[in-house]
Amino acid sequence: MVLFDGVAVRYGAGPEVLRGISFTLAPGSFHFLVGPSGAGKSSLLKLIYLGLRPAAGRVELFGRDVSVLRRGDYPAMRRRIGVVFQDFRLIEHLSATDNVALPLRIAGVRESDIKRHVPELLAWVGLKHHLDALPATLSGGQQQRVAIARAVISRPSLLLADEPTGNVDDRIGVRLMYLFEELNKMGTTVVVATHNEGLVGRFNHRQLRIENGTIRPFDPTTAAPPPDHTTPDDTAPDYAEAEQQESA
Amino acid sequence: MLRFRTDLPLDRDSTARFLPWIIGFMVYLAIIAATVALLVHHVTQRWQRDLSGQLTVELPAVIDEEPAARKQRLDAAVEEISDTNGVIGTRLLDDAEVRRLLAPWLGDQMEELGVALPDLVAVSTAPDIRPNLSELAARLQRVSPGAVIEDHAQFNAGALSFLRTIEVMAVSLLALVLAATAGVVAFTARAGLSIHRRIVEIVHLVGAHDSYVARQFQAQAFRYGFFGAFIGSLLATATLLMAAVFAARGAVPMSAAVRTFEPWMIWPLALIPFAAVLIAMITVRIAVLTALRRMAY
Repeated sequence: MVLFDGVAVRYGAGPEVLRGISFTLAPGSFHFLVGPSGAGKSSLLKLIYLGLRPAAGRVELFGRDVSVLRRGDYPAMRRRIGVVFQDFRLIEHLSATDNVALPLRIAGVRESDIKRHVPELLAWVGLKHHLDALPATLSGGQQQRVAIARAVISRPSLLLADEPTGNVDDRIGVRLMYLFEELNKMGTTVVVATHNEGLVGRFNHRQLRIENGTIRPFDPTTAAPPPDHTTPDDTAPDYAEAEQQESA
Repeated sequence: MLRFRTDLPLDRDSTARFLPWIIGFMVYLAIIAATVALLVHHVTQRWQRDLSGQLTVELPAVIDEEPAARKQRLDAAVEEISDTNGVIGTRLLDDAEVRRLLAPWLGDQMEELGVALPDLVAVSTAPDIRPNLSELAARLQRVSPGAVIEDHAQFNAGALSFLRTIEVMAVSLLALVLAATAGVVAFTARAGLSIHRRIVEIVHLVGAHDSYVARQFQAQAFRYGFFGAFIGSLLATATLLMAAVFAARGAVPMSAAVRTFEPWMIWPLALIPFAAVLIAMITVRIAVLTALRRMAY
């Protein structure tokens, strides 16, 4: 799904912020991208969602070398990637529904389908009572869930989340992680960039650790058993309950 | 104003707020300039058609000349003119016609002035053969001393040159106005793109093509252009109707030209508002796509 081979990143004429980055992400995998603030996690995600070009090395996305992509090829690639930004990047003058519907409208999906799917998804993330709310009227956690809904509405193959818990408290942060796990169970490849080691420790997934501008893979599954997705999940998020609590 | 759903809040831009009025003013100027150009062109063509191939020969009166001698002199002069290569027709104007032509200079009571009126011969020439006027003048001096040939082409040349200058100026003004409209629209689009850069990045990141973003600006250009063009056309129509009313009374400069307005001229003028909207939309598309190509996202 994603292949990095000796990739380096540099902004302008500055020093390399990332160098010698090599890894692969298998379809359906779940990875944490871990490292201290400023380590280059966001830059690495930018490379994946085609927001940045590598200064050196090779990046392959869905089997295509991104260095040979033309500008006109980007939209089709980006439609297969959902991105959740740390600062949400919602469009302020659009309602929660319109923000979530944006990728569908861009893709030319029929308005009748949009009207059916978007409220369903917003209800799924616990925002069925906030369909027409503007982002400014929503809490941080609610905005984050709108951003997640927008990222997954078009059923992307790859979901990237950049510090998704950075602006929410731990309780909401854990719920968001459960949501990502649910998406991952449905087949979406997930990469969550975070510097929250505590959160990473609570979930048993592969890690890509960025230190000193380079990457070090880490597989906690060799040290601990993977989470059992087959058992009844009494820890699954109850967003209706969460919404009531947040509204209260 | 027409409303479409857009992801970019372009209507809130302070730079775009005056765009409909600017387009309206430009369309107004364009229609007026085009009307002037059309009228002048029409008048020039008509004038050229009416007066080209025309000469007037003035045969001064001879004091105390007997009627028979006068008739003989005039017949001889007309015969000389008719025999000239390139002349295809002659007509000796009768006294009433001569008086009417001279009335603007001598007044209606010209007999009281005691002025001996000249005889005038209207001459038609072939379009492809130019008569030798100096040779004709020499021959006329022999049969009617003091005869003068007035070549309309010489007078026409100066007047037509003046009219063509006005026409070129009007067409240049029209082109300038349309170019200025395109410039203002392009500037506004670029400003809008700069203001909404963050949203443009977001729509790109969720899979939008550059053309999707451009279409949003085009939709705005269409709405603003349509509104502006409508207002501009309305004001221009009111202005032209007023000019027509005053021209009918001879109260405006070039009244004669204004009176030559013909119904067919409405069609090219009616195209101007649509052309303005089209230019605005095409300009916006080019400006936005060019600017987007320079953006990282």
